[in-house]
Amino acid sequence: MRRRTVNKRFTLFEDKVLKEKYYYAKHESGLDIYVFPKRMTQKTAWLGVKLGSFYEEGAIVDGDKKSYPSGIAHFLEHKLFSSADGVDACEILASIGADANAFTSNNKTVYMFSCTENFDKALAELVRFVYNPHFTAENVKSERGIITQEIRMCADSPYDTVSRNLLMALYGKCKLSSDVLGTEGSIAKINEKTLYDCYRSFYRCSNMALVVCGDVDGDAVLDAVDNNLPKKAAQDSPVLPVLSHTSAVKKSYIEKAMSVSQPIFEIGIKDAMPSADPCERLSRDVAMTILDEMLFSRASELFGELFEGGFINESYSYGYSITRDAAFHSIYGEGDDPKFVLEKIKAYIRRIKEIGLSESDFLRCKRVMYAEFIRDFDSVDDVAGSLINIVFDGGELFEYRKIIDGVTFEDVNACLYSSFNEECFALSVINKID
Amino acid sequence: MMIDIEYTSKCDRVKVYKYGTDVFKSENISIYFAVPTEKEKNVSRSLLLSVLKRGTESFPSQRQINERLDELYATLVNLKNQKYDGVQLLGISADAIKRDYTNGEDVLSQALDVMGEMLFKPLFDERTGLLCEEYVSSEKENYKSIILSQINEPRTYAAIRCREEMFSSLGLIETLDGMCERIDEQTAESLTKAYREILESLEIVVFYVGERSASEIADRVEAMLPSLDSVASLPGKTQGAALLENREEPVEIIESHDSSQSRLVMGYNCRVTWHDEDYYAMLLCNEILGASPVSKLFMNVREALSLCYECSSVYNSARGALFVTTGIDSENYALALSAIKEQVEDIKKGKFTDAELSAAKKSVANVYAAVYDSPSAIERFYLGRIINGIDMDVAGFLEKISALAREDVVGAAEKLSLHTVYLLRGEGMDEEADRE
Repeated sequence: MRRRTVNKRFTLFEDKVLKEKYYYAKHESGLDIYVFPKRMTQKTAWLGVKLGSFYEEGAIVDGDKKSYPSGIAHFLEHKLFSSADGVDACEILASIGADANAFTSNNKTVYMFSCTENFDKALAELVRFVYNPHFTAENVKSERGIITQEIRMCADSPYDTVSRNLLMALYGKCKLSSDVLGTEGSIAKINEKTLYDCYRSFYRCSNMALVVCGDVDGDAVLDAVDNNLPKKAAQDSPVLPVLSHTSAVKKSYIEKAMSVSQPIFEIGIKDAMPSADPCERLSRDVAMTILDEMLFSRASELFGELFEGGFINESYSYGYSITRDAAFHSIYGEGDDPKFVLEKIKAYIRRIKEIGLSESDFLRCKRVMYAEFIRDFDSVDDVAGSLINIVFDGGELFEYRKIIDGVTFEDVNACLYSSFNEECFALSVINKID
Repeated sequence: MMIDIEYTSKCDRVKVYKYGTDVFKSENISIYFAVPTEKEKNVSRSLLLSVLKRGTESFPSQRQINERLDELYATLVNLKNQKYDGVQLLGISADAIKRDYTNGEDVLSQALDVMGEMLFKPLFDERTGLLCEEYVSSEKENYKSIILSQINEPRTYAAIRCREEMFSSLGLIETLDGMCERIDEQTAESLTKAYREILESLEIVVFYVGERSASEIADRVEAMLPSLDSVASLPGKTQGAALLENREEPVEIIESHDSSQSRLVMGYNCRVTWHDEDYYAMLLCNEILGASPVSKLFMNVREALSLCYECSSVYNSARGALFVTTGIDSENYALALSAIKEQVEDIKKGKFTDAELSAAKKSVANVYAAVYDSPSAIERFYLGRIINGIDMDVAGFLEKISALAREDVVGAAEKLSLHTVYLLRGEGMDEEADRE
């Protein structure tokens, strides 16, 4: 990786191995701007704010501690598309050929569009609508009806429920397990005043980033920001709350009966509190992801045994998730005896801890991780998504590749022995209704 | 040959189509057996395909295949089963990282060895001479569990039930239960017979996206082929899918379910499939009706009435039908039903603005222009057209869309005839936590 100043406004980041580069500029408003050129038909822009369900309670804003109802980040995401003249931002974007969308997660809210033409106009509209909220008692009420249906749709999905329940088992009832959508009870407390208050607390340029990817011109991006951002003095970022938790799981088993054809389950294994240092978090992410690949992938001994034995079917996945506030491994499967699978996995890990990992497995799995990282550069959306994730977490995209390159067998071994303690396992099951 | 596509063939049995591009970090290939579509063979062929991925002569278990693919920079191998009018393509695709990113290692070439094994050297039981019995029975169970798990999500289940109600009585599609019965009938013997049948009238279709020449790919694939004692004549195409008759009055079906939300699916018959000239107008009509966040369904049923979170439409161009789907409270059923009907009627009456028409055209253009940004989308777009003998690139496709006038959309909408209304009525879950 190299970095150098390109012109007065942009700094270049480049990776010779990936054959990719991007530009970074800090706008005078405090907004971080990233421009990632890709020779593709589609162009995309993602405007993100560090506001997700984790930060709805306890952020310090201009010296005051703020708490908002659960689900407010997501509610804001829905409502920002409205404007004073009654024309939805989606309509304006669609009229110039841009396809708009947005999402909210536990640590961010992102507004984006993709298009093949009129990129500059669409970017101007994205900036305009995100920075010009319009909430009224009436439009908030009608949105509540829509979100209520979204909550019910997710409650009816066994796949969403199994994951939601797993978080509840791992962390108990707290922000770490609270649903991004909120509950029907919590969204009833949201009105136009709470929305404006929350918006002013978090939607500050210093707490946001713009990521652009595609065949675009960096100066035009800066112009669109200059011309459409409301003129006001830079403000301090909110101080985001740090969510703490115990190392043991809250509950080791949670179940619910739903209309499913056979039980579905998700096993969670809680990892230690993540480091406050972003670089250390990235390193742990890489080492743990490789470790999980070694232990749980479809080329692993475990998968072979469970699949050949008929204890699970093709619907199987695994992964390691780490954010600033929490980290855990998860394994998803479908089969008649989830408790048996859990015991198998525990015994398997105990045995691996005794006999040790294989270095050839390590090399193969490291290669898998590198390959998966490489593939992300073949889509403008994947690039924008990776970039915004990593910069919001305080990291740098190409640094990530260097970390993958540098991770050693010893690092991964150390991860094995520092994780997977017996008190860290939880099992969430959706059973068939009798 | 088609614009953008390089074509070559080998010994009349291997047809290679190549789309040349250097924008991706990986190269993508699909190798298919081309067979005439035969409805009664659907299940055995799908099952056969999944047995092929379980083990080969050199890699007797799925785990060993996966391990090998992971060594090859996690080459992604997927089973592919595409049905076109008259022709079914059954095969395997691979997405392999290019040499520029693998220290010069030629990953695709090695991945082709694995693909060749999977397609032509599956694991046989030496004793019986049949495909491995253990893998057949295990894949039967896996297949059934995938089929049955489609009931898990109310939104998926309701969509399937509506489609079943429309098409299965006429024998046009199989119900979930019917599929499971069909799976149960399969044996190592029947699958081995199906496999031999495919090999005997062997025709291979290959689609490649990358920088190698079509002839290099053709040579590699030809080298995979087994030597065949007798080769039957190439299969012909069978007839395209039959279409459903319109109903005078739509049939309403209401079923109960343990869910908090009700799912409404409205099946419209239109009898316009993708080789009709009206196909383009129907596509645009669907876009205006419910394929985007500025569509009539979204703006009116969701935004204006706030009845639902999701209200959208999907046009099935193979069956000639259009489905509207939404999730609502059951007390709003009548209201949602009439609001949705009203949106469809409005398009029939030409009650949509020029702005709506123009936004819909741009939205289609945006989606299709993005075809060139993904190897699998390139294959989907071109291969379907090649098989059906339609010589058209994305620009040509978009010209058709752009040339459509409001009357064309109205004309397409007039063909929409409500056939089946399906409501999966949520009987409410006993929920304490979720309501707080």
